[in-house]
Amino acid sequence: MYKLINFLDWQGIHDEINGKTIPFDEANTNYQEYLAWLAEGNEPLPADEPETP
Amino acid sequence: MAGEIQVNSVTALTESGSNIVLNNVDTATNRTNLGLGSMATQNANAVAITGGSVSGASIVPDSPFSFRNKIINGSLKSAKVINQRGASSITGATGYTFDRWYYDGSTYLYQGIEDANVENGTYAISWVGSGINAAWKVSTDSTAGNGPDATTGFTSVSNGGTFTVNEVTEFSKHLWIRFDGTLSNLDKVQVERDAVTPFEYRPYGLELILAKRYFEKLGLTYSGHWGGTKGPSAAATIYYDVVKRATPDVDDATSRNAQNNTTATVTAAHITTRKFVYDLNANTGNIGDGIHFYATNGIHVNAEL
Repeated sequence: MYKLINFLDWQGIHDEINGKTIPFDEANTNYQEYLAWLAEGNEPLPADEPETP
Repeated sequence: MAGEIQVNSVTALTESGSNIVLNNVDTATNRTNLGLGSMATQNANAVAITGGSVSGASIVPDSPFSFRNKIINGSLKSAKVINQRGASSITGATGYTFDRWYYDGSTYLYQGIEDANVENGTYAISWVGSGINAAWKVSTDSTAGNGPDATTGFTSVSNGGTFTVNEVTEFSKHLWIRFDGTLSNLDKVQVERDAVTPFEYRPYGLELILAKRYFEKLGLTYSGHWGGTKGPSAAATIYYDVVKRATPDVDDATSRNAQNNTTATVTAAHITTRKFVYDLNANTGNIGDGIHFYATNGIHVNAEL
């Protein structure tokens, strides 16, 4: 399972099972795995809502 | 005629056509008489240098003297094999084991040579160890079926054999080398341009730097203070030893509140090929609490193929 990360001005994906952050970089093999997972019809968990001032 | 001497016959000289050639004198004596020394001899198609030194000349070899081996961490049975992940053996688990080497969990062992290092030309492969088979393929990327999970498109090559990479766009594809057989015998793997040469032992520190372009295990010690959720707070910027091939994925770490001793997971963000940031974005304590980041088993920074 993956969860989107929206942290300040940076976005990525969190691999909830393996405990790692994956960047949006097509040269990253784990991002390629994420894309393949998306192509199977899966959807990531939404990013945490940023706290409003 | 005045000023001229005509020689009709001299011992050890022979007239041949309109030339006079040395005769009845051994080669070494001739060389000495001509001041040629003895460090080099020249034949019709080769020069043999047996001593001395060459100066004042720029010598460019057809193949490089060093950095011949495009395989990283090829000395697999050496006590100095690079094993940042702490794998029990080269086939100890599915996935990357010793640095740069990927095991599929049952049969095949792979190493991918990054596209940026794969020029067109002839490649020679060699290894030490019996009962080993090898194959090669090029692939555009590391997507499913193109990387270490690829099962098709490989071409067998024998130990000491050669193969040719000839792509329309040079430096555009990774070169995958795959082994199977008695993998525990595999050692001194070398893939180089043109022809097989003796295995290249690079300095350990240099080999480690080459491996860290793809994977790095970092330690983590950071202490700061919680400052709230409205901006960076208790944030640690971690720089890698080596710039990565691609933007890497980064393990989670743990944060501990020094006031109430609660722990939380802290995830990496702002990841680039040079650094990332652990930035605590939630805390069960109070503004100003001391925060400590740690990773018991180290942080894995992964940009492998």
